[in-house]
Amino acid sequence: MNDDDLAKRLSRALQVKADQVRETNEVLDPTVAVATLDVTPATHPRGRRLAFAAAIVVVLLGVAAGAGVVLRNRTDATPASPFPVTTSGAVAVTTTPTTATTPTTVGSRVALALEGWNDSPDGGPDGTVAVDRFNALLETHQPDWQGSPVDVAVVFSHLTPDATSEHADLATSEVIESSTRERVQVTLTGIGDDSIAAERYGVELVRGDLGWRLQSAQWSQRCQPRRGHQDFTTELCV
Amino acid sequence: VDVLLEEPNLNSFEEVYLASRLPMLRVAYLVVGSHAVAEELVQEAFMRLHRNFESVENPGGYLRTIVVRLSVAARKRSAAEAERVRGAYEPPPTGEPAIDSAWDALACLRPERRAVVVLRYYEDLQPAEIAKLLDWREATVRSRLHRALADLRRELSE
Repeated sequence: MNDDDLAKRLSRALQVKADQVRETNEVLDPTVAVATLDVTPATHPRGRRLAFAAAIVVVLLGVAAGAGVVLRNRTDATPASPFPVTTSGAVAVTTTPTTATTPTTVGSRVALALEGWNDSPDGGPDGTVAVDRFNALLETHQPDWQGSPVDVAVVFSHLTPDATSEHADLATSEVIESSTRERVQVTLTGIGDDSIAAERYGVELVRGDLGWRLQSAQWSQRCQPRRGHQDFTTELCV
Repeated sequence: VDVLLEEPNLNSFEEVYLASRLPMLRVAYLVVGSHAVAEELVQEAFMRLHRNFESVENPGGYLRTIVVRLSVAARKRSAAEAERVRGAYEPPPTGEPAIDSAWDALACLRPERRAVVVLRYYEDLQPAEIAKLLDWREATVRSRLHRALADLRRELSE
């Protein structure tokens, strides 16, 4: 069975099973619940909300009691908590024409951001990542950090340590090819995922009049032990 | 992505409830595999929404996130959950082998993988949208989807 056939079969099965779920308890209609309780004047929106919430509580408690169910407070599924951010370790960039690799630990938190750039960019099948939109955003917003190729690369990668992993770390290394050309690698390791151990963006930059711009970018990943390749490639982890 | 996950102009909690309860119940049922548990999870999600309603900008997206996360967590406690709701109503098998076998195969998936399958093939969300919804990396979503399909293919071929 190929992926398309499996996808179609899954879509149909999920649709049919979902259609088996119907509203069966008319007490759960909020209009009925609120009207029955008549806790507050119906003209007050907040009051109606509170009344409705109270109605839900009453209905739930009734259902729970009847079924021997005790509602629990679950704390393990709260909405996503944004990872705390602080200032990243800024990387001093020398403009001396030289070729050198400088590994630099950026730290576990990144504060820099670019409006309109909200997620790590996708790589194509060969890992190539489009850079035009990011460059356009740089032109639009002219951020202070555009003078640092490492900062530009870090913001482009949008890699941030996952809040679920204590061991996550973000590191960069840069190769200074000339005063106007650099290559930067941004690598996130210690990912809290059961298959992916690390992600990396390799970025080529050129310096323009106003700051550094991306010329090309490449995405790759490394798998957890026994979950696939242990070098950085675009292959999926298993 | 924001536009796609945005619910259309629902101004009050009652409107959100009326518009979203059944769709959310269905999503929860597909992820958790139990109608009775799904009912509880959806009610709990609405309680959370109500507590935060004034500050939530996108109630529909907020609800979907909470419902899926609660469902994934509930699936991890599936044995205890199944015992607790024993005897409650559950939709019966459809009698159509292709559907019932696929449903049974879904039960073998890890909770996160099943959630990704539901969001991809029932909610028709793209990996980027799922990643945003659940605050996962897109690469993680793609990887989990890939592994889920491999698991399902193996289950369905046995």
